[in-house]
Amino acid sequence: MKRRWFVAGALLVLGALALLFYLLGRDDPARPPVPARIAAPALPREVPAAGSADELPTPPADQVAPFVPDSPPPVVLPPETQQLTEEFVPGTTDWEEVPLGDGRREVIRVLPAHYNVIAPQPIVLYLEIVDPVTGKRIDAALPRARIKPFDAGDEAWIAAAMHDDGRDGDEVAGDRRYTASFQPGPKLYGRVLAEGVVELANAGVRRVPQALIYTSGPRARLTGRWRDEAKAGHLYLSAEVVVEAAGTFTLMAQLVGPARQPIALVRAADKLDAGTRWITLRVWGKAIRDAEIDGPYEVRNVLLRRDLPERGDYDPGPTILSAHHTRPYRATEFSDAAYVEPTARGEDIGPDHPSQRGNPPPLHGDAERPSRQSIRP
Amino acid sequence: MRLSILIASLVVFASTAEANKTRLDIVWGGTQGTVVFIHGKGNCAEPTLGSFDARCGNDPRGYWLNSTSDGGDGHDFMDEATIKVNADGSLRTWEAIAVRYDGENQGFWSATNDVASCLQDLAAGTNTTGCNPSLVRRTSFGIVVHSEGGAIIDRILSTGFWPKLTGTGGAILGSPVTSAGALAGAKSASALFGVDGASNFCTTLVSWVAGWALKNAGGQSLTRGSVIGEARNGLAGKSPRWVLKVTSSGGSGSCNNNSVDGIAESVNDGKLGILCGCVGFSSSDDTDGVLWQLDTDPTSNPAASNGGKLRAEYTGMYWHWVSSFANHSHNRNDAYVSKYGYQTSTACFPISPGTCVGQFAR
Repeated sequence: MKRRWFVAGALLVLGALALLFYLLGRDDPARPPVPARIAAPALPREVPAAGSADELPTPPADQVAPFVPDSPPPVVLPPETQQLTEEFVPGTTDWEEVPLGDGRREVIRVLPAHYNVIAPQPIVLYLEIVDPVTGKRIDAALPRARIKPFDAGDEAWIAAAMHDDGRDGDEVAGDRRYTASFQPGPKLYGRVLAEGVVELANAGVRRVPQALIYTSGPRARLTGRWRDEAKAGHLYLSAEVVVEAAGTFTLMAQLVGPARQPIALVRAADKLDAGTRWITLRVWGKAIRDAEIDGPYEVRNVLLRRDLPERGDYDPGPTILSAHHTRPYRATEFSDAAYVEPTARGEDIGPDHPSQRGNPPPLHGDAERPSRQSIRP
Repeated sequence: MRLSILIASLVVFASTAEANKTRLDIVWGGTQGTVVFIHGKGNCAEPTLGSFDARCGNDPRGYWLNSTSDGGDGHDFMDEATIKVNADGSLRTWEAIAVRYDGENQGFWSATNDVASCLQDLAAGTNTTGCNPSLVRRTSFGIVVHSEGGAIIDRILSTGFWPKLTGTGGAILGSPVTSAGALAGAKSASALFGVDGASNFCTTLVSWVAGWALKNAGGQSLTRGSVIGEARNGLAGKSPRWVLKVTSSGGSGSCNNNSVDGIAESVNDGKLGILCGCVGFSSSDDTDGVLWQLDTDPTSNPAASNGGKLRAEYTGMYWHWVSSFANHSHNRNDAYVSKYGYQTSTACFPISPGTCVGQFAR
């Protein structure tokens, strides 16, 4: 009797396993394993429901149907003028935010008060733990911060405790936004890696990275003197610059309307010798004309930087939030002509050019192209 | 005099020593022009430095293959993206050149400098960087990139630091294509920064995250805060020409394709899915770059139309071109080619992005 029950039980188990394997594999035997689910961490936001193996959604129809992608419209503005849809502030960045840990819905986030830190200003870092549902900050255990040159080893870290006492850069005491302040001096000039660190009782240390630039500045400064004029259908904005050492400089500014309506981002790069110089921005007329916003315009969020193209890098200066107000131009004073990119190409030298006969052959012959098999006329 | 020569030599040595190695290889031949491919985060050039990846370091195609070692079928994104079929069935091909660099041991700004310098060598037929010993010269070429390659080409275009590439008559033609480009940084770079054994909140992942993920200079430079800071300073997000973006469906779809399709590349599917579960994801634009993938991404054309969402500091020209169902890994190596990726003379298949690049990105 016992033996019969044992056999029946074994058959039942085998049958259930067979049914399970059949159900898992019936749609597509080649399907890869569904990624294993780890012990569910706290997800900071709404997570799309994951279907079981038998409840898999089908791919969107537009993903498995042939189509012709849309081409972008023609470019109508030159490289130095771009449409501005919302102001942004150079020399700042966004919070870095990561989940706090397993089973927790809070996020830990870190922000440098400034992305561009011009010595001797201190490097100031903020850290807070936020519940994304309530938006409220909570206490952080033993928060601290550290900084080091971006490419240096771990021996270069400089650490400091973070505090919430309304002193040394902390704006409001007791608001659960913790602050650390550093004045590292020239040894840290360049790109800086920063960390905000908290310790959790059950999960150890959490680290959140940030980045910033610590610099002595561009060795040039805007004096605050500006000129503006409408000419040839465009708006020209010139700024006086005192240059300590010759170099290549980029001036970037945002043009907004009388009610702070965003209009254009403009830039100009120029090589300037030492001394008092002027650098001129051209706002392409069509950007103003199409915005249909009359002046006076305000020149905001201005950044002067020394470019170091041989390194692909730069030294930024301080951001000037409001730099200049123009005369009361009318939008219709400016041209609506689209920018036309100059076409100045020299001789085209490609693989068939006589000068390229000595090129090494392609690593793979044309007949080896596997995609030939997936072409359908 | 000797002293000045010595000092000058040391200065030259010091300046060249800053650059990490780059490599340039002609992978496929073609008659219609040249396309340069720039890979994503990885060290495919510096065998003596950390995280050297032999798969791409020893094979210029390596990064772009649907690797058979991961269960793939060997399809090649570079091939797919440089072939086009005509209505009569005949084929047109473009030359494919791979540029490899070190994206692990340096910030993306330094990697950009390396890549741009190598591209200038290609444009001039010179070898100042050491990447072009055969003095190959192509005065014009298109660009196709994946992942960190997006941050690199965006910096080249946004800064204008290399006018021989991007200025009037510059070598880079038309609209570069970014497949899963990390144009606005990568959330995973931030989330995994603290993943180092005891401090790991995804405790089951340590064994593979340690090798696969991001805690090095390349990863740290591509965090959201870093890239957005550069964009606000004017060095990212300011492309004056259209960048054609191949994105993904967003949310969990970009992690593991919602497991909807049986593509035999289970290793990457599994890793991506687990990582997304660990760092968190959503269908909002905060998921952008979670796996170097801009899903419903924040870079957009200026009018914020045509799909993408808007970040104020991205004032440049970014076209939400193809929304692919492929996840981050598949976007690179076109794992869907064998199933959906055929192309015709009139259409492409977005689930297999390479076919669209081949047919329409000119």
